Amino acid sequence: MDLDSSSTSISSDHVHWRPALFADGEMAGPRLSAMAIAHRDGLHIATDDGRIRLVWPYEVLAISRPLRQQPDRYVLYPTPTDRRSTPTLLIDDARLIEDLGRRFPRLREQSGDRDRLGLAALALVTLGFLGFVFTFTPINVSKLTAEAVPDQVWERVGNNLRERMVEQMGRRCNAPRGAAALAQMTGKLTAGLDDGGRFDVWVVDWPVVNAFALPGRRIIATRGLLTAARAPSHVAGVLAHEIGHGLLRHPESHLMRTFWSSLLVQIVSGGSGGENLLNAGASLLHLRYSRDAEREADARALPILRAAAVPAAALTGVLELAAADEVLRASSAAAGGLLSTHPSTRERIAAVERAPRYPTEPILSTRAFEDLQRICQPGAP
Amino acid sequence: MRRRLWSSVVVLDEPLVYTGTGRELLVGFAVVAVALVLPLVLLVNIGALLWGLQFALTAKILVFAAFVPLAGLAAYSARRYRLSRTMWRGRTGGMTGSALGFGWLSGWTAVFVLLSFGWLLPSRHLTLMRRLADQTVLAGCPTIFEQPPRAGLYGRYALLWLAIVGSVCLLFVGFGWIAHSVVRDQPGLTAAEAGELFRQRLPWLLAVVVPCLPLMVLGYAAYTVRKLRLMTAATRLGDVRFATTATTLAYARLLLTNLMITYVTLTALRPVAEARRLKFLVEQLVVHGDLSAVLERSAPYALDRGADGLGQFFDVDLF
Repeated sequence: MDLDSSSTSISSDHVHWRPALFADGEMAGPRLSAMAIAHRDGLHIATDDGRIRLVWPYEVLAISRPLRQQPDRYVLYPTPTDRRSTPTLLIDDARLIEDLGRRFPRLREQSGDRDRLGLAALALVTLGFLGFVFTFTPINVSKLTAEAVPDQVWERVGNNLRERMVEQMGRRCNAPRGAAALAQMTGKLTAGLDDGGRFDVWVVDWPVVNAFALPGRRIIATRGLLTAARAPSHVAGVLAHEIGHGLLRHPESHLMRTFWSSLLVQIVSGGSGGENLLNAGASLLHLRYSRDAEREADARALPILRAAAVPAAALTGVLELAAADEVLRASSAAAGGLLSTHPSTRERIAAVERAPRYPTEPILSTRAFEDLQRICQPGAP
Repeated sequence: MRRRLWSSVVVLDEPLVYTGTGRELLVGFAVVAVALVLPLVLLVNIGALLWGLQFALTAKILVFAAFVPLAGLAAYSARRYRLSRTMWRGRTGGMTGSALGFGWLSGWTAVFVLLSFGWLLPSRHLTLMRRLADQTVLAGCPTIFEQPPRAGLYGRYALLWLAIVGSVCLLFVGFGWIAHSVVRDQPGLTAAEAGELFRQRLPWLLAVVVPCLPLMVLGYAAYTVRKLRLMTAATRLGDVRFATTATTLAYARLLLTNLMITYVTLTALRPVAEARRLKFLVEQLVVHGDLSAVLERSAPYALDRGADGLGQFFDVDLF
């Protein structure tokens, strides 16, 4: 923008032109002597030889570093810059710096990126909104994405996770009669399920008292659980609870949640890959479901127990045993133990006590239960 | 940060100006994250869940192998971007070559370095430096890299290589010796007791290995300074030549203090360390010849304005 007769009016405003050095960017030689003035419509520049006279509006003005009160050299230039060359003005006059700072305070901030604060604000608002939506509304992204994945995929994932956990925890127990008893118990518990889906239960030689639901309807029960149980209904209660988690896709949702957060971390950090996710999946070992998830699993397990004619009290049977027995309590409270992942709350026990009574029968014979408890013994039939 | 640092560098009484924006860096990073990294990360993660650990490890190795040339491409792109956003008297800089070509060069030279157990590293450095310097344009002036003599470079590198390999061997031998001594001295120990005894004797190993660290730092400093001297002596801008007055001890002191600054503050003060390194390099640089005459004779160079997404993603130094 060239100067016009308004330059005359500038002089009459009793504001002063200040010395500066101008370079057009085409010639890399010494800068041309110039005068500059911070007027209300922009920075006016005029070279001493009169060849160049222009105005840079403040909106397009950028500076090499933020303006400060103390004397310093600054390079001013109009944006956007050109690929080849850009005119620049070098200033170090204190009065001009002060005038510029007053006319266009943005030069005191990190200029050159006008949208920086706006972008940051937009990002914060977006994150806040998403956080609100996912925290306080029923939208559960993890659950939605978990349900979108085909069952066959989850079964494969569950198999891989199960193998990983078995590697970490101990060998699989598969004594024939114990396995048959387990299959009988599982069959009775899942007989009444509408979708006809199978649950695959393994027993692992681990002394901790617990059971875990994995994606793809895989369940792992520990030797410790079988040993601690005083009756087959105790085992059935725990398995029914885990079946409840499986039917409600809690393991899948948890894994999806871990997947998304792990993905974000890996993208941002350029970090490591899949074995961390496998290990994170194996963290289902230590998963402590929310109270809501526990409540849902209990609610889902009650009809399963009823259909199998197992008393509702079986749901909390092992937990109550653990509460009463010090040794058992220590084992259950260990890392990965039943008490550490399924805290025994009065609420859970109260819900079980409120369940209507119905006729019950042993889910396994005494002989079959003994076979089940010996499933991990080497050489057991 | 760049804006502040660039404006602190003054050439012929003229401060450098950085014209890049945060938006460009953010957009570039996002594009690379979504278009390149996300598919790879998904492949490794989903593959691990579906096909197990073996697949994940194999995929990771392949991805890592692909990342070596990508890192070279990223370094070149980052350099091009930063030069194109660096103004001196209104003139910008850039790179005249291809980032893909540099990435390819970076990749296959890395293979040779691996196959030679690291002995070809100095050659690789010189090859890459030559390519970068030959294709660099500063304020409209192209730089030229003349093949330097390699005298002195391999000697210093050999010391560094031996220091590193020696320390690693010492570590392994030391571990083995301590383990053997535990078994020999107390044969009837349980695993827990043996482990405890092993831990008690470990400080002796550290007492031998830890003093090697300053040797490694000195070796690295000696090699880096020699490389810097070769590089500056081989680079010219028209008739102007360069040199550096950096010394091994000064650089080693800078390295150690920067390491302390960075790691004691858990990388919070890493920008300070980078600024100190830049200050050191700039202050040690000597210019021989009439730089202003060379620059005045030059004409503006129309260069591509590259993006820095890949560079940002790979965190190719802080700048």
